[in-house]
Amino acid sequence: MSAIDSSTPIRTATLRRSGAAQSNSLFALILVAPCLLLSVTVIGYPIFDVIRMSVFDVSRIGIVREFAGFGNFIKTFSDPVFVQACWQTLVWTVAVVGGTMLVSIPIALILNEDFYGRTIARTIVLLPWAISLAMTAVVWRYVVNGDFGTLNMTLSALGLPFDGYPWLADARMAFILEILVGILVSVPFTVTILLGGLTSIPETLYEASAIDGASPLHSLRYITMPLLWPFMQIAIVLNVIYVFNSFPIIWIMTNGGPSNRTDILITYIYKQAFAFGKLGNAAAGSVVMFAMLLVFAVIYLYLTKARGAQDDV
Amino acid sequence: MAKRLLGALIFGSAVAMAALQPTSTWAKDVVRVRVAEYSTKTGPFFQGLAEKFNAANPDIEVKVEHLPWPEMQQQLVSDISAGTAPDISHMATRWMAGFAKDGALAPIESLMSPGFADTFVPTYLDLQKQDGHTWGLPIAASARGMFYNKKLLEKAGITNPPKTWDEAFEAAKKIDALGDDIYGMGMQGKDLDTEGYWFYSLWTHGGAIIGPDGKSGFASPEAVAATKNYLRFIEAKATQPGVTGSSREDLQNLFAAGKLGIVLSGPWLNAQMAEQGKDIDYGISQIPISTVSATYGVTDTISILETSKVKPQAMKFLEYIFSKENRLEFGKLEGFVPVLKSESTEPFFTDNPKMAVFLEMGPVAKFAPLFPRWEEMADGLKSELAKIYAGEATPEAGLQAAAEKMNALLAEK
Amino acid sequence: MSKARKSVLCWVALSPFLIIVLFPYLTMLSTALKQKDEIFTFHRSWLPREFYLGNFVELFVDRNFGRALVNSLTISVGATLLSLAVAIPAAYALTRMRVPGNSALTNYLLITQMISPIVLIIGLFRMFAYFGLINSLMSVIIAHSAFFMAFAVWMLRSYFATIPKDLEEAAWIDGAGRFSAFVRIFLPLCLPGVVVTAIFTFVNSWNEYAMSLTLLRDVSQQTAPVQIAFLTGTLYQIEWHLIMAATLIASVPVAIVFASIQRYLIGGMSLGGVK
Repeated sequence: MSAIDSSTPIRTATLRRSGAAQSNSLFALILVAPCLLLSVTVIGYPIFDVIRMSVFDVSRIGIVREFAGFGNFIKTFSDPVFVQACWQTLVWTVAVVGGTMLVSIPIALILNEDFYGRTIARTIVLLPWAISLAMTAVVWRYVVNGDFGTLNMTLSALGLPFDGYPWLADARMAFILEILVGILVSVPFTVTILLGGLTSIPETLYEASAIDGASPLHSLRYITMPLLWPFMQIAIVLNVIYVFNSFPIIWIMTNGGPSNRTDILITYIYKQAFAFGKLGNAAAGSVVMFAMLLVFAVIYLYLTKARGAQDDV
Repeated sequence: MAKRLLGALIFGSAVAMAALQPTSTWAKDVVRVRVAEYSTKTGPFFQGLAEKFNAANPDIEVKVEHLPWPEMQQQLVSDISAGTAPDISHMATRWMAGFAKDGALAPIESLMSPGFADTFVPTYLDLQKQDGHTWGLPIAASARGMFYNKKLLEKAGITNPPKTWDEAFEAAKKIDALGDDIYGMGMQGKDLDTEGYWFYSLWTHGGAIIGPDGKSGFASPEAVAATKNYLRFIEAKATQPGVTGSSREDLQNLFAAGKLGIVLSGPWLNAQMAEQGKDIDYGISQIPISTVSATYGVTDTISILETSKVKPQAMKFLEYIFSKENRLEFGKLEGFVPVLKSESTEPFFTDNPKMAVFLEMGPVAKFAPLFPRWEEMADGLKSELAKIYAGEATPEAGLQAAAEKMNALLAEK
Repeated sequence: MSKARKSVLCWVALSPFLIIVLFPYLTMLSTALKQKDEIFTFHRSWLPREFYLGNFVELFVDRNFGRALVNSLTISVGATLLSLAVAIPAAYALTRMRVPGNSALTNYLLITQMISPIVLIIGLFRMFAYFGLINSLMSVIIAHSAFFMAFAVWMLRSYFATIPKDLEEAAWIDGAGRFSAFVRIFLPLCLPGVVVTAIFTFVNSWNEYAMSLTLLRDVSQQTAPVQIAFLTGTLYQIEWHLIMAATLIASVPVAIVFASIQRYLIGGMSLGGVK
């Protein structure tokens, strides 16, 4: 990731001042303390609470009873719906994040061009971000309603045979629609990051390659894409985290149905906790979810560190 | 200097926190009441009751909070687990068993004034009892009936509303044939109450949720017949398209728009029709039968929580809610059937063709069982029903799976 | 290629996505202008019977939606200020000083981003209840800051790293204290980054639902997304005409912010995006 890093002056500056570093470290800690304090108290305790509930027998009203060891985990893993939800979470995350990248890259490339009305186009692309996820899902539930929704109204006005077509009745179609809505709401954030990356690529690189007679496609392949890659990485990591944990779209549009076939882990856990009163199982499921993301993060850090080391050589 | 800034910041936020913290010193006994919203009128109605009650009882202050149904369980669980539960809470009767079992609710039989319990229609109050205790009062009760669009029936050449499932099937086919945008019979396959829609058929075919052996009745021959009954509607395309994507609300909207010939629903649909389906001429009759007459009776419960420190005051407010005039006003507002004996004879219910059916069906009403794990059993059933309706599982196999899940949960206790 | 021709091409290429983005907005507008009995009718239509503004009136007069908007605004501004107040010093220390356990801290911040507040909701609620902070806007401000702060630190850190240290050092040599150098030299330089971070936090807080729902019980304290969700939550019918009107209104402030800070946003990200 150090490819675009302008850290060279900083590094030399740091070296120069390393003598004063010692006296700084206490002061530095004081500066970091409020941030750490806020985070540890507000997020730390609930994390502890979830881990505790995951290894105890918990009543539906949250009273912690006897120690259950891995009992909750065993129960959770032996539930076929949980396993099914794991796979669906994988499909959901890969499809939404992958789709988001595929859609966002061309959009970012276009929005980086200089054309009339670009500011308007950029603002429209950002619009899905202006509504909370829950509300987006509510609105889309209405849009795709078979008999009264605006989607079928428009399609049948165009002469397509979608009058009264029930979009959410078939599990596969419902999941595809949810993935598309997921992509739609992830694009603004992703395009913003990618545009940031594109504006940071020096114009001179393109000019030089144009002089060398390279085609625009060639510059895209050999200049733009490699320089954009670190930004794509960031977008992928953050999107994976957000999408993996994303609750409202599926909850509101299909509630995990029909037949649990659109359930992902977070909707599964929510049902376990608040519809079935199995707080222990829900906590165990949450810990599993957390562990999955942790594995992902470790792999990511390992990969970037390996790359970073290479770049430094 | 930075330190000073930081100190000021911490101090500032501490002061702000203290200032924003709600003060908790009250001279009066505060009773916190949480109600769930049936419609947007529910909250204001109870707010109004509280104001009147507070004016008449200077030593008590009732504070009403209202929440939408989908958030009720989550909020109640969070609240009880953190010790911030209200004194009185509204809930679905099917959640009550679980909360009572885990010690979250207070038994109220000794808190009630003498004779108060006798003012209730026994069926509905009995549903609030378990293990020898009364855990709450039936704040809402409904039975279900068959709503039919008179104009569509007439167009299809049907003179009388169908009484049996076979008649209903024939009628649905004829209505459905009237046009592309018109559907015969509404069939629910998604979200809240999907299992309830299936119970209509189950019970009228003589089936039961719990068989005579105390095990699940989901896979009994009657249950299979009941499911095949619905499947023939779906296979003949005499229902709205996309059964597995249709929630209760979707069916009601179709009926209000005049696109649906027949739908099974409860008295609240009257309220929606009055606002959104003004032009639709409709009638209500009993649920079609196969072998026996039956309907699904549902109640919601209002309970006092075990952690409440003002139980007698809370009970006083509950008794105020359940006075005849307040109940009658509530019934008219939301369209529920009477739970008080004195209410049942009111002309609003007896002389009103839109309400009378629900009262008539009261004696044949059946109810969902009060198992702490019922929600899970019902969810398993719902999931299998969706497979069956979508044609991905046979009725026999699907129902067998639902019954096994239920039996496993029954054995877990 | 002329700019005009390029513009046409760009717009044509973007149009499928733009249509999908605008479609729900048109749906909202169309439904918000309809009356209650027009939503579910036999013959549906995009156009309302008349240009009806009654839903907006009902929303603000009867449902007190203005109050919800004010609550949302209070919380979002509060959360933005609080998270910047803790994130700026932390990010400054992490980029400019030798912090013991620097990488552990960074990893910890990344980890806090990985857990959805929804799975933590019970613990979160228990804790705020313990401190008696339920039903106080402050509790949501604190919770939002804690959850959105990590992202703010991460963005600010990468932004601060791009500012040459020499400028500050020059000021120290001139006799300015570290703090005054920070305020006078450093902050103005990274103001765009701070603004962008502030906007991210603001939007996240404005749209957040689960925590606001759980921590605020009093109707008078509800935020806009919670109040809109409450319109969908009545048991027997959903008030689409009001929901659409409310969603439209709630998205307007954010949309205006996006439009007005357009160049800032992209420029800020370009510097802030990379570690």
